[in-house]
Amino acid sequence: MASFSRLSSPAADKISDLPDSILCHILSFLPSKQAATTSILSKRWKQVWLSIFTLHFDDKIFKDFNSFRKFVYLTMFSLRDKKVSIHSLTFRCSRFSRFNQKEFDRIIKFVMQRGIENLDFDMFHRQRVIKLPPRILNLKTLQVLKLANIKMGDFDQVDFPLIKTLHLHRIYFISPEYIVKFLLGCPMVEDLYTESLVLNKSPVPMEDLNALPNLVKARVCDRNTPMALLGKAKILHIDEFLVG
Amino acid sequence: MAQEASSSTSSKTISLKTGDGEIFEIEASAAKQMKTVQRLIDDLGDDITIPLHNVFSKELPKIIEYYKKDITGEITKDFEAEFVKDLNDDEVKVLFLAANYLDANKLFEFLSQNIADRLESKSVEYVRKYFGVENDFTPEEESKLREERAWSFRGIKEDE
Repeated sequence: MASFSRLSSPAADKISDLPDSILCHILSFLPSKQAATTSILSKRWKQVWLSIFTLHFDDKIFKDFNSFRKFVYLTMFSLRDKKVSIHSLTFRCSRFSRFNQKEFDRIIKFVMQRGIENLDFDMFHRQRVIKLPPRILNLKTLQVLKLANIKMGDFDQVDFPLIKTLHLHRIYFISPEYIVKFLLGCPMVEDLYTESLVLNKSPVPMEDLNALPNLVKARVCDRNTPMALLGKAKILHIDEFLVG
Repeated sequence: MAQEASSSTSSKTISLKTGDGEIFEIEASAAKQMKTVQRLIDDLGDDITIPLHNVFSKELPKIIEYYKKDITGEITKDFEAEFVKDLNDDEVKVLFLAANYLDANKLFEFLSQNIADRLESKSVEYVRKYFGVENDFTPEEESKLREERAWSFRGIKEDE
């Protein structure tokens, strides 16, 4: 007999009966800061929050830098024992940022242990440019990499066999050879965006560069991206070169 | 044997029977978007009325409306906004559960986002009520957790 009344939200109860993965899915659409508050809904929900596999840190929604940093550390700390893999990490710093190099390295180390597939880092900082530790350049699980306001020091090998999307915005490279090394380390890249790549040394024309074989779409707002690499792009968009 | 739909295109329609005994018709191409339905069709054949025990006559028409638009490629942001505009929280929850049961991915994703939108910046009590969660923390445990996570709670509305 299927007569039942729809009072007092039986749907609410049924939603709580859903498995953690589905509740996580809803929470993954919320900013991490708010998703974290669900950890006090009940003991069961505390676990749900920790299972979320998308992390989104944006300092703009925090009152000040210290709150942001505390939140980032707490999240990483809470997850330290969980073998939870994190699918996607977005990390955006703005004018507040006071992260130092050591703190940034810790965050990178954390993500590297999690099988990350999508990484989006904007390490804007008023006083310094944060350096990307070279160990991340062999992170085989990455499929989407977006970097902004970061310095690349010396590095040997770049090995990103799965990267399909690569966006680089205001990245400091030692020399043009390093840009090439980086881009060629992403042989499967289909969607490339570069803006304001900054060099310590002047660009020199490079010979014998093979075009990235899988490139579909390239958008270049930068004079240091070697054009030869873009030869196979189906859609090529070159913007006015910006200064500085 | 293909049935002829009453629309001008002679596409196959599937009969769905809700948990409260009502029958609705959908295009076969829409049924394909609901993996649970498709599985039942694969098992039972497409000439049989497909029983959906956990979906009812209140919500199925709305779901059918969504997928009617989907198969003609007409789902836009405006349509989606309109679709949820007049739904109260319970109705969204019911649709969400139905989309989950039917394994209707596009609708499921859309409603997940909509539920999150409805919860954004709301207080913990509000979210508890929304999900029907019983708080099994003692007051001491809860206040300790709130203190530890104080920065998460700044900016989140407090219930009166």
